[in-house]
Amino acid sequence: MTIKVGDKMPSATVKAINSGDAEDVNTDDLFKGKKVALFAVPGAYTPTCSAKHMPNYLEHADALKSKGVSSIVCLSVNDPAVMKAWAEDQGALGKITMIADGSGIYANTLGLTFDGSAAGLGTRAKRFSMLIDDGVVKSLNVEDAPSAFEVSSADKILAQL
Amino acid sequence: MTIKAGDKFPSVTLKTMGAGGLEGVPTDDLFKGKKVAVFGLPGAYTRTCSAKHLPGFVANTDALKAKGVDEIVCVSVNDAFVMNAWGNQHGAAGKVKMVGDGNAELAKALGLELDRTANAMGVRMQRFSMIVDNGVVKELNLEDGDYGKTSAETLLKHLG
Repeated sequence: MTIKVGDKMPSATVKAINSGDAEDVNTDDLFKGKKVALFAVPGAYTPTCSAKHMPNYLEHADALKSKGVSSIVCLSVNDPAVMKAWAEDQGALGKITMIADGSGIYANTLGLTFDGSAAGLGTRAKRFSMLIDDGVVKSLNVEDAPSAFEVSSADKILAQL
Repeated sequence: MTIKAGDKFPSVTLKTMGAGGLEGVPTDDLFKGKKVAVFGLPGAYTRTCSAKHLPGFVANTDALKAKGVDEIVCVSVNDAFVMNAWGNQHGAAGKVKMVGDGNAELAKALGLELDRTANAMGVRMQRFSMIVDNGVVKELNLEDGDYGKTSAETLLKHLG
């Protein structure tokens, strides 16, 4: 089942990267008592994710924070080593919390995966964004195709705030 | 069943980044009529792989080629985008061909899969090195403790 607006974010332990190495973090703690903008990408280092999606959230990070967003979270089905290297490469380390959902467990729990086997990606997270307030989904914007980048932008989240 | 010396290398299609983007790499084409040094590892950007395994093969490319190796291939259960970025960081271009087994199809066909689900890595590949001659495995090295048996340096020694 796919998560929807009004649902509580599922509880799980995920690997999160802030400014150092990946640490086990409970999602309840990650979302508790604050507004979080979460975006998910099909893959670190893939063209749309690196050229548009991540830069778009970095560019709007201050604007999101000025509208009450306490943290910005990026989720991908990549392992902690790849997510950290990509965050460094993108200048996102310390600005965006990276969730390395390398086994795809959290994306699967959200019901937001697609089969990227034809491109040698295995199962990945769809491209989407969410506004989460105290653990409850306030908005959910899912792209029709993994390569599309329209509804899941930071601009759209800003408009939803 | 785990692959062993004397076996034919499994036929699967891997991925690499070519000049025009994502390309399929059928293993049958990769090995045809050539002697290839192949090494596999648990993950791009992970510690041992980044500090030792890939750098060792990049540094020893010329030495391996001087001993009759036509091509050097690095494979991991990562996608081709990640393999390409990681290879570029280590100066692999023109030396080591970086191919991705993102669906873990080769890892399973070789019988060398490694379950790292608990580490948020999904199913990966054990660290190995091989000499594949015209599609037939001539030598297979697996690690059994500290890193060393699958290194470029060890493979060079075996090539005499």
